[in-house]
Order: sequence, then structure tokens, then C-alpha cells
Amino acid sequence: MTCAETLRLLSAYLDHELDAAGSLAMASHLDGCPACRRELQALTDLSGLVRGGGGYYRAPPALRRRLQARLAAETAPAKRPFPRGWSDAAGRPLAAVLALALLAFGAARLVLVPQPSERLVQDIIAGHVRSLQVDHLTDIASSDRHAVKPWFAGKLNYSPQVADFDRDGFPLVGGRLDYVRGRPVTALVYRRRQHIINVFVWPSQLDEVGADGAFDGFHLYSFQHAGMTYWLVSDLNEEELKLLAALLQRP
Amino acid sequence: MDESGRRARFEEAMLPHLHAAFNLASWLLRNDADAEDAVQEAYLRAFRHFDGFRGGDGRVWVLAIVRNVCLSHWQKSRARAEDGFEEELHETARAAGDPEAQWQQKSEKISLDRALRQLPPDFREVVVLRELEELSYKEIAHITGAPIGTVMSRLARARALLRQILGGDAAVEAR
Repeated sequence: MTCAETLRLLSAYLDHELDAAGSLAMASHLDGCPACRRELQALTDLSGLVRGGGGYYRAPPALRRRLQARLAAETAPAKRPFPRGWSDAAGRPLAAVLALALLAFGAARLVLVPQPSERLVQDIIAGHVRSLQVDHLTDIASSDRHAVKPWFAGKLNYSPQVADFDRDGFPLVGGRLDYVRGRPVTALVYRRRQHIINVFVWPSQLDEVGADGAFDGFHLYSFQHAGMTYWLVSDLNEEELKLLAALLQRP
Repeated sequence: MDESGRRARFEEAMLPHLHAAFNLASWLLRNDADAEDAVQEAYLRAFRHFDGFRGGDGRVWVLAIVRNVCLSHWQKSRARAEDGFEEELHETARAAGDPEAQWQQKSEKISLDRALRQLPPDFREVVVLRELEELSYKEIAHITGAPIGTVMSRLARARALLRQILGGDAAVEAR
């Protein structure tokens, strides 16, 4: 084996990628050739340098969480045992009666009546909880509606109304994309004192505003306005949540 | 097959390779946000094609998808003339032939990360896959879509170029 051939194959030899015959020929040439040995050493040093010093970028925990949320949104709703009769025509009046009965008891903590929108409610709460984790609250952090509103263009096929209510005590924190029932929706983030409020907005479809109330320590409130469905969720009390709802419905 | 079971199987098989995916994307693209976007897109694509994964090395399978996604990102930004690929190539060639630049590099002790970033993308990716991911030539060939012989010669040339950029065998700062 000549020096020229050796030098050509040195890199592969270093990586143990030569076959048995080739490795043998290399080893025996290197045995008698200090110049080629020095070259091999230089290559070995370089390899060590890159392995030791080249930055290995590890995925941040937030990326993993976002990815898992996204994957969850991709999959169809899990089949859950659902009390038969709630969702069919005979069951709806029953559900309504039960809801009224619960309201009539004036319980401080309402139980949300199982309705076709059960998954929707779960997604709203999950989206809110996820957003409270580090680095996941907003994709666009700005109180300027002229920055936030256009951010959604190209990501959604509708343009949400965005307003800052700082003067009324509900400053706009920013916005992000979130997922409800597997579809991307607008999430606008407002603050009231130390409370974060998520406002999910999307073009209205049927059966989307359900019984509002408290669930797991969060308050939910929903309404439809100008063809859009709004769901508000926060640990803020219901009374103040309704104030924000009223502001959102201002023309 | 029930959807949540499929997702659980996918996550178990593929999430362990998230760091490798993010590492490759970070070296191929310019910034963290792009790398995160690319990894998200790659994993979603992988999830949708999970039925086509017939076992074997999940890391190699995912990295091939990540690499393809990065390639589209990179081509898009090149079309927008934002990316400095041509620039990088010329800069490296210039630096290699320019005595003053060489002297400057030696005295500045160019950092390793910067030197790697100066490599053209197809050189950079084989170095990252070989040195940082310790993949075999065969696996690198699968990920990059190049024949093994090309991987071999590309790696040899990449190492030679890297040595040039780092200014020979003089001591260099690792970071």
C-alpha cells in the first residue's frame, strides 16, 4: 500500500469502516511509515476535538411538552364510556333539567353536566394548564394588537379580533396557537392582577357553548359573538371573568 | 388499532431520539426557533407515517425525516436569499487561500463551533452524524440519501477542510 492510498483511506480507517483486508493492509503500512502515522494521529485528535468540544444541542423540556400536546391533538378522541342517553334527542331535555337543578341548588362549585362538548371542555382546561408552564404561554408576546392580530394570518384561515383592555384592568399579554378538538384555534392571553386568562376563539359551530362554571379550580365562561365562539378559562373568579367577556363583546 | 395506543407506542419508540433530532436540526439550521419548528414538523410527519416503520433503528428513521425537513426549510430560506450558503462557501475558500485571513484565524484561535458552522451544510451534516451521533457510514448514507462511497469521501474532505479552518494542528480553543 502506498502513502497516497493510505492517506485516501485514513479517514475510513479511523472510523473502522474498512473491510478486514483493507484494515490489515493499512495497519501494516502504518507500522513502517511514521509520516502516515502522524497523519492518523492528527485525524484522531481532530475527531476527539469535535466529539469533546462540538456543542451537542439537547432538546429543551418545553419542546418535548409542546410536541406531546401536538401529538395528543392529532389523535382522535379516546372512546370513553359515556352515559347513554345524554347525547341523543331524548337525553338532551334530561340534561337541561339536570343543569337547571344544579344551578337551582346554588352550589359554590358547579359540576359540569356531561354533554357532547365534554371533550371541548377538557381541551380548554388542558390548553390552559399547558400554557401556564414555562415558555408556553405565548408564541407572540405583545400587548400591541397590531403585532398580535397579523401574527395569526397564515397560521389560521380566519382573522381573530384582538384588543388590549389595559385601561379596564385586563392587559393583553399576547397570543399563541392552541388546539381544541384537534383543530388549531386562537388563544389570546390576558392578565388580571396576577391571574392569567386564556381566551380561545374560533369560528362558531353547533353545540359549542356549554354550561359554564367551575372545574378543577378553574372558572370557565363561554359565549358566541359575531360568528365566533369564545371560551374563557382562568383561576380568576367568575364575576371578573364576566367583565372580560363583556369587554370582548364590545363592538 | 386504537389511536391512543398507537400514540403511546410512537412516543415510547421515538421520543428518546428527540435530543438527536434537535441536535441535527440545530446544526443544519440557523437558530433555535427554526430547529424547534423543524423537529415538531418532523415528528408529526413521523407519527403520521408510523405504520410504515417496520422496526429497526428508530433513531436513524427519525433523523432521516428530520434531515429532509431541514432541507426544505433551508431551500426555502435560500430562495429568499436569506441564507448564506454561497457566502459560506466563498468565505471558506477565501480564508483558505488568503494568508492574512489565515494569520488572523490562527491568532484568534477560532472556536470549534464557529469552524463547524463554516463548513458547507453537506460537509457539516456528515461530521455531526459521524462525530456527535457516532453513526456508521451505512446509517449516514441512509439519512442523507447519498451512496456510502460519497459519505466516505465527503467525510474525508470535511475533516481536511475543518483542519484548514482551524489553522492546522496548532492548539485551538474547544469552545
